Amino acid sequence: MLPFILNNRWVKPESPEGTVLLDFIRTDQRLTGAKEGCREGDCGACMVLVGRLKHGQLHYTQNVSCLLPIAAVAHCHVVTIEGLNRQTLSPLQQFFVDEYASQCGFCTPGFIISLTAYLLNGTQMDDEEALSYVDGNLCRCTGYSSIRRALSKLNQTYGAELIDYSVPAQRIRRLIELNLLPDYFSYMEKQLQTPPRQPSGQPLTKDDGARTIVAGGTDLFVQQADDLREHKLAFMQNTRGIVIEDNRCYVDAAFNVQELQNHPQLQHHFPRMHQWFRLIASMPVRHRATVGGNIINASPIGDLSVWLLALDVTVVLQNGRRTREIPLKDFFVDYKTLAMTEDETVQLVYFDLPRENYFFHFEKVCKRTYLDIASVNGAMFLRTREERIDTIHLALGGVAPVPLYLKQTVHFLQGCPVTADTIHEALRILESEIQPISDVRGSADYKRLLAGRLLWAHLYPYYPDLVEKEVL
Amino acid sequence: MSPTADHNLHVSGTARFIDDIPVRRDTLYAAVLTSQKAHARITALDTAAAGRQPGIVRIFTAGDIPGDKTIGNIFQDEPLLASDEVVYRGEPLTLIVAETMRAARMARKFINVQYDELPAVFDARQAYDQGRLIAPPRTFVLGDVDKAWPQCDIIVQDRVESGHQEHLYLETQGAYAYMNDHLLKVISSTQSPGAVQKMIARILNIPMHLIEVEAPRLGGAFGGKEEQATNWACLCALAAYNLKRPVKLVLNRREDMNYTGKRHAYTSDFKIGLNRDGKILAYEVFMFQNAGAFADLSTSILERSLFHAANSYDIPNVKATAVSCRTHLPPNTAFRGFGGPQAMFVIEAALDKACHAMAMDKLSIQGKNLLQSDSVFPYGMGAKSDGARRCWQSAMDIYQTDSRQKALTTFNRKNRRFKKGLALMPICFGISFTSKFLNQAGALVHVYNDGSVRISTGAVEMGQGVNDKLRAVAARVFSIDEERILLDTTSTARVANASPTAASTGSDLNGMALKTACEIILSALKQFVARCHDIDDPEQIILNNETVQVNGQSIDLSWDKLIQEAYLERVDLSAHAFYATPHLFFDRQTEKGQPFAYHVYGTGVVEVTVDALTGTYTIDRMGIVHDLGKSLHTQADLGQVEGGVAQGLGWMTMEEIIYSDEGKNCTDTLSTYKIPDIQFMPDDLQVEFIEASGRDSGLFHSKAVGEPPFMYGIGVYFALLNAIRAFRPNAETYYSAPLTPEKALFMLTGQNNKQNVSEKKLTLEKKKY
Repeated sequence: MLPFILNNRWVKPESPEGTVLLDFIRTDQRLTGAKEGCREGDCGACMVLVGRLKHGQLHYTQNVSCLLPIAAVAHCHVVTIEGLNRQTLSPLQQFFVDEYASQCGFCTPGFIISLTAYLLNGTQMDDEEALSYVDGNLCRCTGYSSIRRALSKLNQTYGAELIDYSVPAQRIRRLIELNLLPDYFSYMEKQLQTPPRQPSGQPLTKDDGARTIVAGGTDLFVQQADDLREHKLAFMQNTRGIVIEDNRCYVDAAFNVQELQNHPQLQHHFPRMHQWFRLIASMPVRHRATVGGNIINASPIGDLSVWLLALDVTVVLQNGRRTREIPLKDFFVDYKTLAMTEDETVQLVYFDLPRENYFFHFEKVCKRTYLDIASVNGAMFLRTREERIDTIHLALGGVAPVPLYLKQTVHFLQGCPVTADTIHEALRILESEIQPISDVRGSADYKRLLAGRLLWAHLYPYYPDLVEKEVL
Repeated sequence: MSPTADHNLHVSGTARFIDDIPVRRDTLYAAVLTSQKAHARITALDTAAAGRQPGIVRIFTAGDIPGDKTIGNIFQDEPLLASDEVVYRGEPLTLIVAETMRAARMARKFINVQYDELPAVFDARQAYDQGRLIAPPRTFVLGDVDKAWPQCDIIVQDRVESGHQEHLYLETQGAYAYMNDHLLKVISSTQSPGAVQKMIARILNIPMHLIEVEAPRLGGAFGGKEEQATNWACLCALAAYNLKRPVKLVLNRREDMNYTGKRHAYTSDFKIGLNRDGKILAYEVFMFQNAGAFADLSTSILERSLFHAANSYDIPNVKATAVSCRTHLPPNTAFRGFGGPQAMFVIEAALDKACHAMAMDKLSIQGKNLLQSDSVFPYGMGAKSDGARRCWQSAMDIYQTDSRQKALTTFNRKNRRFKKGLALMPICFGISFTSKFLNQAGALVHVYNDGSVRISTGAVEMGQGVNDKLRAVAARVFSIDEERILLDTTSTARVANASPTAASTGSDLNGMALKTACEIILSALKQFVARCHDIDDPEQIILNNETVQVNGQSIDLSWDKLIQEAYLERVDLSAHAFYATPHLFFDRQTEKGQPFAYHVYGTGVVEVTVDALTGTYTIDRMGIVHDLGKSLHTQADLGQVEGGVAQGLGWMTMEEIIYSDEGKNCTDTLSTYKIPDIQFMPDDLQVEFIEASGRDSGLFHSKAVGEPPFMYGIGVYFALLNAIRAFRPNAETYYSAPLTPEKALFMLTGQNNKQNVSEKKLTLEKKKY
């Protein structure tokens, strides 16, 4: 196993590399500040900071340690709540105490970690942004009001000042000066640049047979953590990032969802993207979850898959030196069945960036708006020319065994004007294309009803009068 | 905040919960194998193959229990380990003890259980029809409803459903047990160390003095660890006592959600009659409680449903009947509000229905019928307080509900897609255990000779802030700095026979005992000072801000010096004291009496916005006026109100337990069972505290706060209905909580899917109206 820095010292785990970080820090290292609340990344009680070198700079994100195999933090700086503690409380900790923002205290370390990630990375430094950093933390006691008061106080005290520090190393230095981070953070970047030498004769990674390929693992480790513990893992590497050439956007399969959300050029093309992506999982999970992982997982309610279907992306598959391409809408064959062989891996997706006269819209309906799995989700791409539909792509999740591209509905709408008649006819076709089932996320009747309503909801921002007249 | 307060440990992650305690070197780990059938005869239970798995030390079955094989506080009807028959999915069958947790859990699949399936019942009404009752029905009567119906101008009746609710304490159930010479020490995440001790003694057949149960702190409980922490502590104790090695048993989330009971689902029928002025003349209700497979605390919870059947309303004729029905689900249990919320939801639904039928404003009807000082509750106790009206009026004033209503109407007129709704929720909640004997508490105080103080009571700190309140009590009596005071963990060795920390009474009962214990020491100190300074009347002496004063004049005697001198003069600096709430009585034959020390009142205002296109909604604002008496600790009290409201809102909106036709919990993870997150809660949530009752109530005239605020959340159901009606005036609304976006969309679109509301009979009798 490769070493990593746990708080302020290098550790070299001897546990199997599929062991989740939470078990390693709690059991092997006896650091019990991170708690086990759910083991599925839904409560945030096990939150840790993970610092990684990117282009020589150290960037920290908050991650749920219950879904993070230790092999994924090789040569990283992992920070638990113990790694933030000093002799006296930090101002952030003190605000929590002052505002009575802990009751039973079980979730509290997770909140402190997430808000430390906010201090390290926040750009707006307002309460809304601070809230977005704790979107993966649940508290059952406080009702969150006192936590909101604590984070407001944090912003009032430090927000305006920190906004000026945008370079990570400078931000870290300032946070240390403000007593918001311990001193040792100042030399972590250098430490990571010079990892401890391995004893000679032992290769860094020993390739001894089959490895399980893991992207973010945010669903894999929910479903199969016990089995994966003993597996050798191979991690998808994001080597290409996002490349835009000739108006075509190529996204590495290992690109994570949070980076996608933050991408300035994509935000330019999809101005509400930031808002929509906040509906997908939570920030700590988005930091790990990848574009390719979401596709490969083939979950019928995959938010990103639905999004990508409506962008009509093409998937690039690789098998050794051979590559081939397949439109995403042809890639999902049946429940968790993909049009690919076992030897192939998803390398890239690409799509053409839209030009003028287009609308893009995403909707997700679930019991809880944030950090929930959709009852039905949907996305629409629409471009009109001379009052008629020039191009349309429609995708729905939660209504079929796969994330569904509505081929027939799309086919019908092509060339039609956006009128009540055409939409009603489109809905009739849509009805025939979907086969929702009843489950904990809603009855089949409900999902059927929602599927139609989401089409109206997609149209609402652009054709409000039409929608109001027809269904409201 | 005192540096010795728990909060400093919370924020640095150093507060230890059961799973964080450093384990002893030879510790074993236990996992439980539970029934996979809701109702079946066990025809074979073969553990041999599992026993041969690596790391397995021992597998316990029912036959290995040396003492009584059943547990339970009210009725001892629950087998610790099932043997012949299983009656719910998740019922423990065997306890597997291994060298590692992983080995213990993995061995489960090697245990061969053969079931002979039997018919199962999951619905309370069906269980009732089959005569499957935990106890006979009970009825509370005031006046005579049958004589009142003819006087009514309008009578409506309907059915009301409310679902199960998962506690979702973030710390799952767990225990750690080991032998220490003769003593069996059990550290348990329990609200009831005393009950755990008693049950362990029962199943091991040893006296209670050989068992010490300690609850260090709980990572949330909300009633879920009042009765249901006992099973795990008993199992853990059984293994540790037998194997003479430390044993740890901590459930993971999925196990916890599958094995433990929830807030009881209720289904009720009501009939309510009003005169044309909107005065409620009669209310009749029949509540079916889904108890699950064993009694647990269901009969007590049912009793509280009856106590709160009329909520804050003065109704001259009431007939409330409730029955606890035995089904094949995990035994349901205490949860904040303890049956009160379920009953209050019914009366609010009844008023909603009546007002809608009469086309009258619900606010005016609610306001008109609130309790007054001379009102009498259906159980015979007088209200003797106008708290309900004072809170209501304050809420109307502070939150300007009239102008808010107007603003909402304007908004709704201008907007087609988004509609807003508002509702008010008055609450009235009785404080005391309704089992009289539980209203007792003990406290033990040590003043060390350096002037520092250490306190033990029977109260368990689970986040509710009882330790902060108790610290405030001792600091006030001694008039010393809070930094001098440490609150101990809760242990049966220090305070014996303690009642559960429950029923919102933790601070009241334990605080009163603590106050008395501190006063005993204070009195000894005063007598000592009087002796030393030749003062005739020790009452001329007071302690003020760490110094001794005689007749208002400071003498040169600080707390430190006083204690040191008192110690040298052999003054007893320790005391134990006891408290039993006076004047409580209740006659279960007549169902009349004075079951409560006092009542807590309040009113919540809630505003929502519904998206008529998708059925999703947001909670925009909440305002609360809450009767707190004189708060002992404002931040702790505020936290209880805000946190209670959040749980109440969750219960009414998104928290939905779904059992399959086979009795399997389909919502046994956090990805399928949703609780409020930070973004669900309204940005604007204001809480105003008032002293509404004007009567002596609890400790230093403070009032209990744990449970009552939960019920403000009920208002959201009716705010949502109002918003839905603003879109679709004749929407066929019904009363089936939680009101998920699914139900909202069906109501908004007029598509019928009354999921849980089966055979809904709409009988609206309009007479003379």
